[in-house]
Amino acid sequence: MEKTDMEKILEIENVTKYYGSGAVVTKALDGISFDVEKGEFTAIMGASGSGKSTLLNVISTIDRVSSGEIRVEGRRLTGMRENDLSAFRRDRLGFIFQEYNLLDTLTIGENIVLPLHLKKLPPQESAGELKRVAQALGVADQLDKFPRELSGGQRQRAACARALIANPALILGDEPTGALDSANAKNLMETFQMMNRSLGSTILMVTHDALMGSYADRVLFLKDGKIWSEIHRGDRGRQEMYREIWSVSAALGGETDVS
Amino acid sequence: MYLNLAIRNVKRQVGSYLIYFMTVSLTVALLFAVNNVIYSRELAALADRGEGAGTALKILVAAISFVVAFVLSYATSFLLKRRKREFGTYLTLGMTRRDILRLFLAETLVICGIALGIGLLAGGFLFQGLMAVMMKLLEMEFSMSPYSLEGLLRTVALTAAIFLVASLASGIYLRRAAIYDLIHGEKKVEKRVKRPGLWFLATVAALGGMAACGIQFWRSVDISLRGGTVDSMESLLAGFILCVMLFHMGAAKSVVFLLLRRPGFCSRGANTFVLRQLSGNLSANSVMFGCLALLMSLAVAGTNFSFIQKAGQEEALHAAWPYDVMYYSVSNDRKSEAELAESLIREYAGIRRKVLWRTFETGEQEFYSRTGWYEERMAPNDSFMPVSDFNALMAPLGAEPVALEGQFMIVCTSREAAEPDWSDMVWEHGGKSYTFHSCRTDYPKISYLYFYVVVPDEAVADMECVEESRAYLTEKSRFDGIGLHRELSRRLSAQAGENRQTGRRLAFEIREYHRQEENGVSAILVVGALFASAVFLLLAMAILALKTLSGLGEDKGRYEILFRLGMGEREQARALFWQTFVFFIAPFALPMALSIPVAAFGAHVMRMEGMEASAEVVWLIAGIVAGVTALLYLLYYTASYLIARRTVVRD
Repeated sequence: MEKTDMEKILEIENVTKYYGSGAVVTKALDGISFDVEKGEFTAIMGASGSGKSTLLNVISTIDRVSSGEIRVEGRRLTGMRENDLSAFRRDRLGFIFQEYNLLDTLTIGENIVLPLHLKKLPPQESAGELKRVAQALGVADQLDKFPRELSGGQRQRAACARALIANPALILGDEPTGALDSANAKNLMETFQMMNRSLGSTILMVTHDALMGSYADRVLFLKDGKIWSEIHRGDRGRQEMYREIWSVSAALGGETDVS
Repeated sequence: MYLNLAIRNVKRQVGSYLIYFMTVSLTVALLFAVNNVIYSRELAALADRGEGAGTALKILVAAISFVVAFVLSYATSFLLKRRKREFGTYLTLGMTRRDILRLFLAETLVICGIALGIGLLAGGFLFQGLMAVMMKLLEMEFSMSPYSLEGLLRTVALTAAIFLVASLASGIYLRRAAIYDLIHGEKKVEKRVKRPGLWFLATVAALGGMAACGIQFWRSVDISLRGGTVDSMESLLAGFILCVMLFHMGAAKSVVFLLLRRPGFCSRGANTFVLRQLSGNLSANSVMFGCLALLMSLAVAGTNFSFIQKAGQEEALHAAWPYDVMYYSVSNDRKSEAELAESLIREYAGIRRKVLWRTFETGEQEFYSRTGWYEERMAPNDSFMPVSDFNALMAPLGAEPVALEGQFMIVCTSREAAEPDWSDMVWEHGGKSYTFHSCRTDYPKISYLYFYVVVPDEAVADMECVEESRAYLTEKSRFDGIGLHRELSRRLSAQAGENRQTGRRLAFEIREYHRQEENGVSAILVVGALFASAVFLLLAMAILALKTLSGLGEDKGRYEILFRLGMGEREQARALFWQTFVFFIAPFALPMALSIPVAAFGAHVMRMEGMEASAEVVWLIAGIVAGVTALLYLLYYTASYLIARRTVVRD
C-alpha cells in the first residue's frame, strides 16, 4: 500500500554531516535519505563509526546537519531556532538512552512526569498521565523510589515511561539495551514492541545487537555514513528476521554483534 | 617533572581553581594589610599610650588565621574531590597515592604561590586603604605608610602554615579514599526526611527562640543601662547559637520537602528538579549553614556596633563631659595651681568662658541613708551645691534656671542614684525646713559624685566648702587634648607635692583628651571589625562557591538530560540560578535579617543614653553595612554562577 506524505513522521533528505575543519575533516553522514512512517518500529544498525549515533543526534536535534533536510511531522528541523528546537524536543520527541539517563536526584515518578512538568501541564492531568504510563510499563509500584534503588531493567522501563508520557511523535532509542543483561534486554524489547503495537508509538532505535534489531519492523544498515542496506520484516517471524540481519551484517563486514 | 605537570594542569583547570585562587589571594591580601597595620608606626604610638591595640589585633589575626587554615583545608579537599575521577584513573594506571598527592600539592603550591604574589600586591593597596581609614578615625593626617618586613614575614609564614594544614587534609583524604569511590563517586542514596512538618515546627520554634533570646538580651541591656544588675548573658548566647543551628537544620529539612508535596508548585517547569537538587544539598549542609550564619551574623553585628560606637562617640563625650575642661578642687591655699592650670588651658585651647562653682558638706549622711550605698557602708558624706552656683553652671549648657524656695533638689549622675524615694523627706538645717522639689537625672553630668543636693544659697552659709571648681568652655573646639593632659599632669603634680599635707583631691577632665583617647579605641574596633567581617564573609562565600562548584561534574550530566528532554538554554539557566541562589542565600538570609534588630537595638541604646542624633544615624549605618555586605556577596555569587553556567548549561 502506498503511504501518503501525511503519514510520514520522519523524513530525512540527503543529510550530510562533517566534523572538524581545514585539513582534518571527517564525513560522518554522507547524503542519507529515508522516511519513517507513523507507527513504524525502525532499527538502525552498523559497525562502530558507521554514523549511527551521529544520525540519531541530528534527528534528535542535539546536533546540526551540515547539509540536507530533516522533517518531523512535516516541520523542517534544519534552520529552526534554538528555543524552538528545545520546545520541539520537549513536545514531539521521546528519548531512551543506554545509561537510562534518569535524574538520580528525582524519584522514579518525578522522572517520568518531568516532560509534562516542562510542558507546564496542570498537576491533575500530569498525575493521570503518570498513572497511565506507569501501569502500562509496570513501574507503578516504584514511583516513590530513587533510580539507585532499582535494577537496570526497572530503570530502563521507567525511562520508557518517561519517553512515552508526553505522547511524542517519535521515540528515539540510543542503544537502549546496551547496559542490560540478556534477560532484561529481551524484556525491554518486548516492552518496545508493546509500545509500538499497543500504544501506537513510532520508534527509531540505534543498536549494534542483531537480536535486538530483530524486534523491529524494519532495519537500516549504515556503513561509512551511507545507508548500505535495508530489510523489512513483512510477514516474517523474529527468528527469520534475526537470521537475515545476521547475514546482512556478515556481508556488511561482520563487524556488527550477532550474538 | 611534577612542577611542569602541575603548571600544565593548573592552566587546564583554570575554571576549577578560580574561586580557590580568589579566596587565597583575598585572604593573603587581608592578612598582609592587617599585619602591616599591626607593625605600623601609628599603631605603635597607640600601643605606647597603653591601648594594647597591637596585642589585640595580633590575637585577632592569629584566631582568624586558625579559622582560615581550617576553611582553606576544607576548600582544598573540595578541589581534590572535584577531580577524584582523574586521580582515580591515575591510580589505576599505576601511579602511587604519594605520586598523586605530590602532583596535587605541586598544583596547590603553584596556585598558592601566584595567589601569594597577587595577594601581597592587593594587600599593599588594602593596607594603605586601612591606614587611611585608621588615620581618619584617629583624626591624623594620612600619608603613605611604609611597609614592614615583619608584616611581610608574618603573612608569608601564615600562608605557609595555611598551605601545610590544607595539604595535611588532602593527604588524609587521598590516603583513605578507595579507587572505586574515586572513579565512580561514593554511592549516596538521598536520605528521606521523615516528618518535614515536625522539622518545620522546629524551625518556627527556633525562630521564636532567637526572638526570645534577642528580647531577653534587649531587656538585660536595658536594665543594665538603668543601673540594675543582670544575670550573666552566657546562657542567652548559648541559647541563640543553638537556635541558629536548629533554625538552619529545620529549614533545610522542611521547607524544600514541604514544597515537594505541593503538586501545583512542582508541576511548573523544572521546579521539582530544582527542589530535588536543593533538598540533598541543603539537608547535608545544614550544620555548616548554621556555622556560616553565625560567623556572618557576628560579622554584620560586629561591623554595625563598631560604626555605631563611632557614630555615638561625640554625643557620648558631650554627655560625659559637658564642659571642654573641668578643674576640680580649688582651695585658697592652691590658687596658684589653678592659675597655672588656667594659663596652660589658655595656651592650648584659649578660654571662651569660665564658670566657678562650689560643693559643700555637713559631714552627715541624711540623704545617703536612703540609698543602697549607705547599707553597703560605701556612702560618702552628703554634698550640697548652692542654687546660684548650679544655675550659673547649667546656663551655658542650655538649662533653664531653677528657683528653690524652702526646697531641695536632688541631681543624680547615675540612674541607680535616682532609685530612692526622697519625696516625703523634710530636711532640717540651720533652723529651717526644706521640702522635696524634684529628683533629676536629665542635667549634664558635671560631677563625679553619685548625686548632689541643690539647695537655696542661705542653706550652705554655715557649711564647709569642700571644693571650689572651675568649668571652662574653650575657644578652640579641636586642640591637643593629650598634650594638655600630659602637661597638666606633669606641672600640677610637681606643685601638688608642696601641698600634699592638705590631702585634698586634685582632678581635671579634658573632653578633647578623652575624645582623642577614644579615637584610638574606635580605630582598633573599626579596623578589627572590618578585618574580621571581611574574612568571615570571604570564607563563607568561598565555602559556598566551592561547594557549588564541586558538584558541577554531576550537575553537568543532569542538565544534559534536561537539555535532551527539551529544556531550553534559558530555562536551564533559570533552574541553575535558583538552585545556586537558594544554596547561597540559605546561610546569608538570617545575618542580613539580623541587621534590622541590631540597628533597632543600637538606636534604642543611643536613645537611652540620650543620644538622639546618633540614634538617627544607626539605621543609615546598618543599611550601608548590609548593602556593602550584600554587594560583596553578590559579586562572589555572580562569579560562581557564571562558572557553573558555563560548565553545565548546554546551549
